[in-house]
Amino acid sequence: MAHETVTDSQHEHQERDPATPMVKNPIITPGKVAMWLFLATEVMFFTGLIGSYVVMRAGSPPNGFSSIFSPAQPEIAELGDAAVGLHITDAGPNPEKVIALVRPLLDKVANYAPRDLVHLVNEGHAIIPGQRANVADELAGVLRKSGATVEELHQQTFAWPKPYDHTTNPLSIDLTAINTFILICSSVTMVLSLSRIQAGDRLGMQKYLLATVVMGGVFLGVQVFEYRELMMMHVYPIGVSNSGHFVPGASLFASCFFAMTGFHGAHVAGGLVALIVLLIGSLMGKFTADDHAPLELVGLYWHFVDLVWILLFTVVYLI
Amino acid sequence: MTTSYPSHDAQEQAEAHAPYIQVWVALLVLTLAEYFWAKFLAGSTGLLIGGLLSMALVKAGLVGYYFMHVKFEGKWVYLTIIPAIFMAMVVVLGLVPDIALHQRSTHDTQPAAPVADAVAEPIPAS
Repeated sequence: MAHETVTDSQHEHQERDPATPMVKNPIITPGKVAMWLFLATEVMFFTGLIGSYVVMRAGSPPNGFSSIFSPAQPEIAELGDAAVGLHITDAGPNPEKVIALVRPLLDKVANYAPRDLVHLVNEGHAIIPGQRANVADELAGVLRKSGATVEELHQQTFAWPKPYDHTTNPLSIDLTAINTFILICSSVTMVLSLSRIQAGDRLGMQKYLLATVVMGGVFLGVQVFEYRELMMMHVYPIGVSNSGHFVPGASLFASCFFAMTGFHGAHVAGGLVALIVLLIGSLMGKFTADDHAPLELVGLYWHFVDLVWILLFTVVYLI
Repeated sequence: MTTSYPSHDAQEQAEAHAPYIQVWVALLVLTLAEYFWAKFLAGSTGLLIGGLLSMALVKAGLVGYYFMHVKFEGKWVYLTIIPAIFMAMVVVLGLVPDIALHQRSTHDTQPAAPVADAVAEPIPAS
């Protein structure tokens, strides 16, 4: 692509900064245009995802989530303030008896696997969903006679799970804040990698590129760990899910969470593959100060993935 | 009047010496600020959302402007991203009356549901 040099007399700007050679047209390469157009489609994709999340959240009924019912149960609204849940904080000396007592109750309203119910009772996290006060009092009396320590819970309802409210929201903000920072750092090393090759320093470029790959891998690893905890390992209160596990079918919040972070994770995985290919290429002698377009294009994609995560972290985790 | 642009070499030199470390520090500070903002202002919805969205947009802007080199590109870049953002926003805003506002008005006007029976029946004392 030709870039016609502009003379001093033609442009005032150049007169202000004669050290910078000026050209008539901006630097546009087909690869860069293609990548920006691709990113434009990605902008539409992620705006659609995030926007739909915001719209669905705004349209969620005020009693979609409760501290003592699983999500979207009609009883949340029907019983309202009259609902009282029971939190078994300590199963006492005879946990088997307590489990035998609560199992038929929970089987009606929840879908716990037997070992998850045992875990919840033994760890002091079991919550018997809301009932009328007189029924709850009677049941609490029975449980206390069995040696359990029981606490009455009054219902709190939410249109959407709030951050840091562990009765309805299982997400770990601390872990994800650290992971967000790791991804931001990987974006910095990516741009420094490009900066190094632009300066003709291939070894520096390789070091920063390796750091980017490592940090991208850590980000993805933490996300896989988070998914495993949410979906399989951890048993959450009834307000999070009626199975104790935060799986896509647990609630609208869960579906949205997995759709948004899952698509983003797939983008990170794709970017990671591209970065590894670049790293291998550079180790085989590719890329110089004058020839490094693939590094710049993959870098654009990687920064975009980082940019999207900055927004996702704020919208999904913090708000 | 014709706009002039840096030559390819000049642009690459500018990109290679951009203040990336300063931007990284700014991103770190803003991430920490977001974290503590969310932790301590969880109760005040307006302040929480306004503050967090502002900080997130500044962070996204820094990444785009410096790391994605929007600062160094020609105006053609805006031609690719602004229409995409605009059209995506239109699609999303088109859903607002149908879902968000419709749901809200339904909940506001619906009569209270009859109180249901207790979820679980009392169990006999053993």
